[in-house]
Parts: sequence; structure tokens; C-alpha cells
Amino acid sequence: MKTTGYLGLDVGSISTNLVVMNPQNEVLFETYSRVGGNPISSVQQALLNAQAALGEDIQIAGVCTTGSGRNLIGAVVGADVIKNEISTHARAAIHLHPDVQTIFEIGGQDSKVTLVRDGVVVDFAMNLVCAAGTGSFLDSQAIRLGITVPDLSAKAVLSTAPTSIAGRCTVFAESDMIHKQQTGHRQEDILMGLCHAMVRNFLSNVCAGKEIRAPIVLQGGVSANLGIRRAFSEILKIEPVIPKHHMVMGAYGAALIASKAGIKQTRFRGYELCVRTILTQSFGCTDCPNLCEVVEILDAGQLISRSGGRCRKWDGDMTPRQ
Amino acid sequence: MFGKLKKASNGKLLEPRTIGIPRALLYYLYPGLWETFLKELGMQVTVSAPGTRKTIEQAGLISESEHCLPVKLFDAHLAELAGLVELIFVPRILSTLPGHIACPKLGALPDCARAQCPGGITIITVDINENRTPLTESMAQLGRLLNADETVIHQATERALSALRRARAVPTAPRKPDALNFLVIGHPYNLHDSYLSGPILQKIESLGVNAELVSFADRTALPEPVKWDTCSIMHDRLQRLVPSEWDGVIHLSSFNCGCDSIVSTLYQEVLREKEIPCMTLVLDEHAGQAGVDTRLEAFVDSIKDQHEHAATCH
Repeated sequence: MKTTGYLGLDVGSISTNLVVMNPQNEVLFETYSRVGGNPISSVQQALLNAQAALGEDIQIAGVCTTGSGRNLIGAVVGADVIKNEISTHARAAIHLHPDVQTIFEIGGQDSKVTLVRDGVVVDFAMNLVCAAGTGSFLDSQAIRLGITVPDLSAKAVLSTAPTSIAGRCTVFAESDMIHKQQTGHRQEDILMGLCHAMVRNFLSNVCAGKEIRAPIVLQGGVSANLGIRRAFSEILKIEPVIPKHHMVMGAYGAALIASKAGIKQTRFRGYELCVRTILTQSFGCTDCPNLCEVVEILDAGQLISRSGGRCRKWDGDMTPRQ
Repeated sequence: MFGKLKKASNGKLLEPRTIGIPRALLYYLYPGLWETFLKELGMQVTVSAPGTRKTIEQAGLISESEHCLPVKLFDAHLAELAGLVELIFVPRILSTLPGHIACPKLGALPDCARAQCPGGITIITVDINENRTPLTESMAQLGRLLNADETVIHQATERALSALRRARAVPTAPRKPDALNFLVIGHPYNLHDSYLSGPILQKIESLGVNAELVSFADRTALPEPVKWDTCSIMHDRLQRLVPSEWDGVIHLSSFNCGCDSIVSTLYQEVLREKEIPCMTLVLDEHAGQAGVDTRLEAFVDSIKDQHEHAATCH
């Protein structure tokens, strides 16, 4: 007897996250992986891993994609629902912590604050053109110090006297960091200083003007970082709640949405898509001076999707091009 | 019509017939007015083409990097006209509404335009200061600068004003039933520049939302508490919104706008009191559509969820 499963896929700028959930909202399988250069192949790999782990016992009954790659991957895998990442992250947080008031979601290049009252999203904000309050800030500083991000996490919490780093901008953070090294500060104190700087940045840029109330749920890739958790609790004097599936909350929220969407017949194109060659190609539309780039997805040579362009006239248009 | 020939600053006589109008900034507040007026005076009028990706790229190349996006776009539209016409009309806009002032950048435009344009092109300007001088008087001054007869000016003014009335009286589409209703606010040059606002308005519509653009035809705004003209009209409209008729407000602001940085807080205060959700989208030349789509989708989701929650509670 096959069990029904709901598939949530969160394809962001840095990571591809996958969750398969049963109708009782229990996670059967989750995976967090770095996108690398190609979101489609990273999704194919994640699906193969899911298939290997779950075997043939799970019948996928609904698929929801989310994250900045949600439309592309939605077309590739055959999504029943395509949902923005703010809504999916909120859905998962509210499901696991119904009393949540504030959600901090810090990903690779995006960071968001979502305000929840009585279990409903009432306001949110995203970072604008600057990535200083996101995971890529920590990534780039770790690279400069020659350590990995997990090392950064483990070392930062050992700090007994965090130093103050000017974290308004990653460029200036580097010069400040070098200065602190040269004045003899210990590495763990510098690393904890970086975590403080990132959190202060997030709170002053993204959360400006937002009423931050406890309980706070902290999720997204950066929530795994112990230094960041410590920085939030030290600065806000509130201990953030780290949810059970904190690394894959977007995918979990997507799976929850798929399960509630009343899908009769899923459009999921099956695990077989993992072994086919799926390519994208683009062309410049010359119908107006905007010269937009239109992207086509080819599955084993067959056109399965076309999208892009400011006027959106190409979206879903599958007629052969001259 | 050009009975007296006009002397240029270099002393040479010239008889300009071609005049350009940049399709930028407060061109969008007076739709149809200036081109009709100048055509009626017998000029050959070229309005720069609607903005495209090229316009925004050109703006990035030629304009001062500290300017707000709409002023950068003005510079690109000006550059487009520079090779096509003898004269370019750039009004010095000081106020478009009694009791109010315009954004100070608009008062500096003719001087900036003169500094930017290559030689051989004449920037022609009149003050628009509706706080002191009726618009018709500014139009008459423009006509006289171009040596037009008073009777011609009078007739051109009448026709231009009726063109303005027609352009402003675009009826709002009837509301689709069972859809959310949004008011979209923003300076006329943010709302009506189809390159900037088009994809956003299309996206709002694709989410099944009725979107109404704020109108600047209504001229009853009070000077307090907002002294800036277009901001005051929007603030006034927000104050008169009936909460039961509106599900949300979208504010299209532009990057680096000094006025908006102050008034958007006032807008939010008014809307918070009325419990109408509000979201500000900042237009800039670097932002991709993806972030805007995500925000709009999440905004609509959150409003629908709030409605559902309210319905189950009662």
C-alpha cells in the first residue's frame, strides 16, 4: 500500500531544499543542498536522493515550489502550486509554532522579517539592494579569514569578549576586521563581532519600523549559525526559537500548502525527469526596444516552458518560434 | 504667426519651428496640455518616446549618479530630443497647487537642462507657479516667448486645457466583483511611466486585484500637513479613503526620492489608523522584477489570509 506524499521544493539563490511530507504533516525526508551553478541539476539531484531514501512506497500527490527559482523549477517538475517564499516560510513557522509573533528568515542573499498576529501574516519586509544583513556577508568574511562557515559558527560562540566590527558594509567590515586582528583581538572575538554586526544590520535595515514581539522564530540557512543565534539573543534580549526544520522551512511550508490545496490529480512529472537532460536556452525578443530576454526550458529536446519579458506575452506561449 | 522673428542669444535671427518635450517628470501631471498648446501655436512638436530599457541604460550613463531615478530618466529623455529639435521646452515648476510647493529639483530643471544640452539647442522655459499664477498665465507667457499672437494664444490655451481635461478624465475600469481593491499611489511620473509601472500594474492585475491609480485631477488638497503638491494630493486622498471599500494601498516610490522618504511615514500613519494594509515598492534601475513579484504575491496572500481569519472569527 502506497503512502501519499507532498513535495515542497524551495529553490533559492544559494540552496535547494526539498521536503517530502505525509498527510499528517510529518516530514518523511528533508534535504538542504547548495545550488552551485545550476538550479535544475541541483533539483534533479535532490529528487534522486528523495527517491533513494523513500523508495517506491511514497506516491507524490501534490507539489509546490517556492523561492526565487519557483517559476523555473515549477515548470521543470510540474508544480501544482507556485508560491512566494514569504508565504511558505510563514506557513511553516505558524504551523510549528502557532503562537509566533515575529519570523526572521535569513537566507543566502535575502533576509526577511514577517510579523504575525493571531496566526496571520500582517506585515513583512525584505532586504533591498544590499546583502549586508544576509548569509553572503558571513560567507565572504569567512573566506577572507580562511575558515569555513561551520567553523565560524563553532568558534564565534567561544568568544568571551566580542569585539565591535563596523558591519554597515562588507567592504568596510574587512578593513575593520584587519584592524582588529592587528590590534591583537582573538579570532573568536572577531567572529562573534561579525555575527553582532550582521544581526545589527538586519535589525536596522530590514526590521526598521517593525514592531518585534516575542516569540521570535529564526529560520533559513543562517539560523544554523550558533554565533548568529547568540547575537540575536544578546541584542534583542529575547531567545529566538529555532524550529525543528529550520534549514528547510520554505520547502516544508510549500509541502504544507500543497497538502491543503485540494489537488485532485498532481501535475508532478515524476522522478524520471531526474535522469533526462533538461536545458534552458534564451533568446532576445526584438518586438520592442526593451529587448527582453525570454527563457525556454527544453526537456529532452521538447519545449516545456517559455517565460520572461516585461510584457509577459511569452509566458506559457508554446507555439514554435520562426 | 511668427511675425516678429526671435533673436537668439548669439544675435542671429532664428525661426524655430521644432520643439521637443521630454516625456518625464511632471509631463505626466499635465498630459496632453503642452503638446496641444504648442501645436496650436503652429509648432512642430516632438514628445520623446515612452521609456524603454534603452532609456534607463542611457540615464545611468549620462546622469549624475546621486539623482533620483525620475530625474535621471528626464536627462535621458532630454538627450533623446537633443538631436531632433531646435527648442526644448522645460518648464520651471515651482508649484502645481495653490498653497503648496513642488519638489525643489523641478525648479532647477531648466538650468540643469541648459548645462547638459550641447550648443545649438535652446531650452525654453516659463515658471509654473500655481500657488501665485494661474496655469493659463504661464501658458500665455510661453506663447509670447514664441512670438505668438494673443488671439492664437487664447485659442491654443482653450484647446490645450480641454485636451488636459480629456486626458485626465480617463474613466477607471469597473471593479471586478469578489476581487481585492487596491489604490496605487505614487508621483505621476512613477505611476504613468509605463516602463516603470507597467510590469507592476500587470502583476497586480494578474493576482486578481482591482487596481485604481490615484488621480491628480482633484485639486482640493489642503496645504497642511504636507507642503509638497503631489504628496499632499495623495495624503489627502488617503485621509478620505473609506476602509470598507479598500483592501490595500501600494505606494510606488522611487529610489532616492527626498519627498517620499518623509511622506511615506505619514501615509503609513494614516493607513494604520484606518487599518488598511500598505506596502511601499521602491523603483530603481537595478531592482529586478523578481523581488517585486515576491512582495506583491506575499502582500496579496497576507491580505486574503487576514480576511479569511476575520471571517472565521465572526
